[in-house]
Amino acid sequence: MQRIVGIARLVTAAVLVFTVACSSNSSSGNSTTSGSSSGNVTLQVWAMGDEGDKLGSSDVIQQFQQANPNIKVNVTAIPWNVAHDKLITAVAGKQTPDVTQLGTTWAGEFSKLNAIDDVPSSINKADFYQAAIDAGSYNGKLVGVPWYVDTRVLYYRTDLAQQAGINQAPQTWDDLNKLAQAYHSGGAKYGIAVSSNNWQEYVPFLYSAGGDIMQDNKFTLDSPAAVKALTEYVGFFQQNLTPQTEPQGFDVTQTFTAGDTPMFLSGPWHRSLIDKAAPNLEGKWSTAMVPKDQSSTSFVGGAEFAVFKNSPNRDAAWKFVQYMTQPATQVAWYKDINDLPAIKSAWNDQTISNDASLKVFGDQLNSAKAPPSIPQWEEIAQQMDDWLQKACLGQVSPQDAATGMQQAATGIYKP
Amino acid sequence: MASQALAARQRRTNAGYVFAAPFLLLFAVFMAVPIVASFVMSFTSFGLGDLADPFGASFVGLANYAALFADSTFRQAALNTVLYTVVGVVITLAIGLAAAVGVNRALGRLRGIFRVGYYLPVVTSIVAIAVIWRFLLDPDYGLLNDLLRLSGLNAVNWLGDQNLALPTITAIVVWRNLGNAMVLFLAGLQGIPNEVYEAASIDGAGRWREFRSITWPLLHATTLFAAVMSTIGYLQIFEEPFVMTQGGPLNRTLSVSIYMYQQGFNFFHLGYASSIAYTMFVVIAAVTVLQFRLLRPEA
Repeated sequence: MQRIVGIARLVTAAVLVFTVACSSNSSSGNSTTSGSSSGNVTLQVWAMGDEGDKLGSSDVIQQFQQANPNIKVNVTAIPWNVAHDKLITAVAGKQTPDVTQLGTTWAGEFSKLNAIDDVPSSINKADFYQAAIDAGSYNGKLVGVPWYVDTRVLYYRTDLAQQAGINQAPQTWDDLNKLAQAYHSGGAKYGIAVSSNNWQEYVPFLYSAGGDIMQDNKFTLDSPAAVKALTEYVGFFQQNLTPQTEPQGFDVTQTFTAGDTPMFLSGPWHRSLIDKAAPNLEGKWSTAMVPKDQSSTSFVGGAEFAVFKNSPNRDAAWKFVQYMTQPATQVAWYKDINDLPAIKSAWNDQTISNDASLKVFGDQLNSAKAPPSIPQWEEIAQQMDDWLQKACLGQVSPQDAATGMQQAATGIYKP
Repeated sequence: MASQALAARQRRTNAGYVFAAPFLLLFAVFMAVPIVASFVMSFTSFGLGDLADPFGASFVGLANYAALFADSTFRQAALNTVLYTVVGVVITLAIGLAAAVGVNRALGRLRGIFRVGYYLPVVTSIVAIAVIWRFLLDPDYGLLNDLLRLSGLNAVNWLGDQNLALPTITAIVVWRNLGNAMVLFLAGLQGIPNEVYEAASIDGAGRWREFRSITWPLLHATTLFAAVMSTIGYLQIFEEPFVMTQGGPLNRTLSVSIYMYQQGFNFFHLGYASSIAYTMFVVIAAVTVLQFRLLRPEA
């Protein structure tokens, strides 16, 4: 019995998807009864993580509803770790909301499912950071409208650096390695925390070495620049300057504030995490642009808005998305939750331009790149993680890991 | 007369079907249909793009199964699962039996305490247990390594070391499953009449002789049952490695169930995932039949 239950776990879910998809095929035409643009409309919006928790009760939403009395916004919060699966299941069962937040690497997948509405021309691509537009586009067409952006920069402990006799942020890879060694020989357990299996921490090295994940629709994961970046990255492991592997739930905030790992690469969210975890460290840490080799180029993340094709309230939905990407809304939203605006002109607002600690992120964003927007990205990312880890743990050489990534990615990718 | 009796019987049979209907309906919808559907799916290339049009998925014959045997990640997962199972089942049964014999001997209140102590992990949420163990095993801040350092030993990267992660998780799963095996053996032990032991001690048998000649043979049916049940459980191992390591480092703790989940729900290769499910089903069925053959008491 138990084994039947075990097998049924997968098959039940699979068939639910299957049957729901079949049964709703016939009725997809008549779902426009719940509202039209003239009457009262309730917009169903799915948002993830922190945004999901705070969007529903935010001033931003209040103001939108006051300006549009016939539109009510209903936000459903979804945890990030189940968001992807939940959205796919919703698409299969045609139980989608009107608007959803999308992760930056999902645009390709969802447009391949033919589920997302085309972005109207009233949304001007040129207003946004280019990398965010790249991430939200599939085959050159914008499908996800950037909501907020983030990018990884270098966090480092200035107090411990000074103790080690270094008074400025590392500019180059050489500086980075020297500072890591200085921290370590100055008594810190490690010099830096880089993850053995997170492509998001590896790609800033790849980009900065002049490499890329994909060029002209072909993977370039085994380019000389990639091998160089991997060699530099793996070097931290060979020199014991970073924890060998971190188990699930490893918290870099904790090791950073304790001084065990006085450097790491992360996004803007870590600013408030560090402040909260160790208020007494104020002024003893700082952020700097990713150290450069050929350039200082980081990875852009964040989230997008997408409107579903079969939403009966598409007009209201696009009105909402348009409102959320107004510069004024973007600034107000930054004040609410510290999400960095995806609209470039919002950065001219004094709230943001006067915050010196944000300048690093703004500068980094100007050149940051997005991973390719392709349907099989999640799978390719996992292969990159696997090969990265093999190299970091010394099982294969950086050259072999680069070849492995390239072959795996090429094998998985179907345009 | 005859037709009346027939009608009455017919009514009774109808009533039976009505009572059975709710279960049969649920079974058909949630078990039978999915089992058949996923069997069919395992011969198709059903993937992400087919969610919109399920009948558009193309048949690929045995290609999924062929790909499975060429898939080095699947082979690693299969090897890991065999290791989990062989090591896990043997140790669980051995310690479970020893604990049962011990608890059975222990007197009065002590017996209750031991019984609860061994059984408590079984009724605790697996995810909660796994999360707590993850904290205890943290290389830098975990209690276990703190104790090691206090006693002058080197800290160990329990879940991060590629050679240690699988044994560590196996140990935790054994600890969790111990209670089940112990309770089964306890029930078996209490079914052995005391007279047999009394007769043996009059004949001058020592403790070990008693165990070998009385307890072990009379527990045969229990042992078979415990072995079959825990083998099935270990072959499906999922939660502990999923919560603690997600199959890492380097897939050294990846189990077949986790790989099936990843393929099915992270990448939506539902055809491929179904072929993994069916391969697992066949293997579990075969192992169970084999166990019955090998361990059946000679009648």
